[in-house]
Amino acid sequence: MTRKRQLGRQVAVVGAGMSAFDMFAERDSKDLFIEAFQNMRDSVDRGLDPADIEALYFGNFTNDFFVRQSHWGAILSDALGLVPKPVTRTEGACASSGLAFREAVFAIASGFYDIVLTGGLEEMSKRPTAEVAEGLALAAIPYERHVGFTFPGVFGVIANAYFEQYGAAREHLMDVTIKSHDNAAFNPAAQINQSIRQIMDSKAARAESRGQPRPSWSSEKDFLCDEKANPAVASPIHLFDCCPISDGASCLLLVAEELASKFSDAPLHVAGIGQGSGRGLQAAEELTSFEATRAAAREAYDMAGLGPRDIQFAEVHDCFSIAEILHIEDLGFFEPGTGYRAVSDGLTRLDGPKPINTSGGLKCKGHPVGATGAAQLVEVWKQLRNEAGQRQLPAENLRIGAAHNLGGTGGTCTFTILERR
Amino acid sequence: MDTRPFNDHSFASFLSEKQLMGSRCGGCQRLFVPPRAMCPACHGADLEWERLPETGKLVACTHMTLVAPDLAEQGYGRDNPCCVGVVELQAHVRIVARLEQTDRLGRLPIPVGLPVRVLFPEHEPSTEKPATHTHPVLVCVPDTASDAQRD
Repeated sequence: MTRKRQLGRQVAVVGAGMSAFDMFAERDSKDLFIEAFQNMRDSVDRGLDPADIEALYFGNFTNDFFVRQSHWGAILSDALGLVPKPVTRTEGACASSGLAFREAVFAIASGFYDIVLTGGLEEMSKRPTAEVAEGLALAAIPYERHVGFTFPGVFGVIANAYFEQYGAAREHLMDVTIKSHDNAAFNPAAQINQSIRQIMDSKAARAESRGQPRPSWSSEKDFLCDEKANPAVASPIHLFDCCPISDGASCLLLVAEELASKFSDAPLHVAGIGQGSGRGLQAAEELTSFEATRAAAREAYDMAGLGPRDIQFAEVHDCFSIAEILHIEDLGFFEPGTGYRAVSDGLTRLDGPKPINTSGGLKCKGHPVGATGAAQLVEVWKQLRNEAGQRQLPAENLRIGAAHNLGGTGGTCTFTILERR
Repeated sequence: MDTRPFNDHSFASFLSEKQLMGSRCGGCQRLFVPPRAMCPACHGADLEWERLPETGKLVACTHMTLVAPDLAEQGYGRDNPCCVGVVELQAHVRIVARLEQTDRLGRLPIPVGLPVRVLFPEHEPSTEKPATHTHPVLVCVPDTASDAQRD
């Protein structure tokens, strides 16, 4: 029953782009997807005639709630000039476009299509924060919602369980945050592209310009301990443990491998692709590990014939700082209960042996939920093609990167391994 | 034997009758709370109602200062955080719950393993509220009886 799963034929990524991620009062999801599409098109080394696109698979979680508009497939098809080609929406909470990418891969691997567009979108900022929290909570299981859980609440419980089980503390969450911001400072496309140090300096300068006393934080952690600068959201989760509210879109072009060289000088191959499902908090076997992640990772590693050690860098779903710690353990990069020390020891920094979230992660790059899974793969694309600018990992021998996309309270997960051959 | 269907509606109606009820699979003996009509482990459909203990221990919790609008309407927020968590009723039987009266512990964080007991609602929620508000919420409070025993 658990035979090794393989694609019917190989699939390559030949283009990748994303819109700016931010809170846009005057732009909607369609505008953002067009921007992502145009950036993707510009990344296709040998050019793309949009008429050659056969189908679109895109992820969206709940624009239905956020902007009271469903059925974005038809809107995108018209906007992109794809009519009457098939457009399919996938929904898996924050893993919606991880699913879309996977379905697009299958559409080509099955032999049905040769050239497929995929991506995702979400438009969250038109609602006030408490309503965004309410919308995101639609991805929890009903009991969690009825009790009142927000997603920061879910991850607050998980963090406290992790602290109790392994002896970690809030300062270890801060190490994740500081690292994410350091990376994002090198990513001009990040929604928050400032290090914590830069944020401290700008807050201090603002206070001075208003004639207020200059805050005197002694360190980044001292700043993060300042309840005024970094208020609690759901203990021990504070504001700087959370990703921002974002609007954005992301887009990738997939083709059958035999066509890859017609489009790209440096295509990426889909080496492994896994997906898993999981239970809510009360039915989960443990609170400090996501079964869906472990299943998705197993499937992807098996397919690729690779293991955690072979993954040279990864984007993981750091919706909250504690989540990044769980994921790097569940993906096998570090042993259970040691992820927090790995982060604190600098092992996941840009210059560490296992760089995690080189883009700044969801925390800083932004998290328009339905766009995130595909946007993570855009970062893997940039790194593997030596196009990541100041945050570029040493490109020599950089061959294998991965993206981990998680939805709900661990209910849906995809893990995708891309390889430059 | 109670003939109510094994579903969320019945779970809620039992709660309003001050009973915490789950279902036990006759095939593999697993206990589910809230109840399930089909066992997801052995796929058996031979389930029976079982009344659960009204005491348990806290697995983990959090104090939410940012809450969804419906909880804000109930007075929760920055000045009155809403405490939610996971409670273990017996081995391998856990449920998410709202935790109240935690301020009388006088300490944070709330210790893992804290004995808690179920506090049943005094009256049924108003049917005039929107649907999302009508689910009775399982509320637990620190169990002072066992606190006294422990101390």
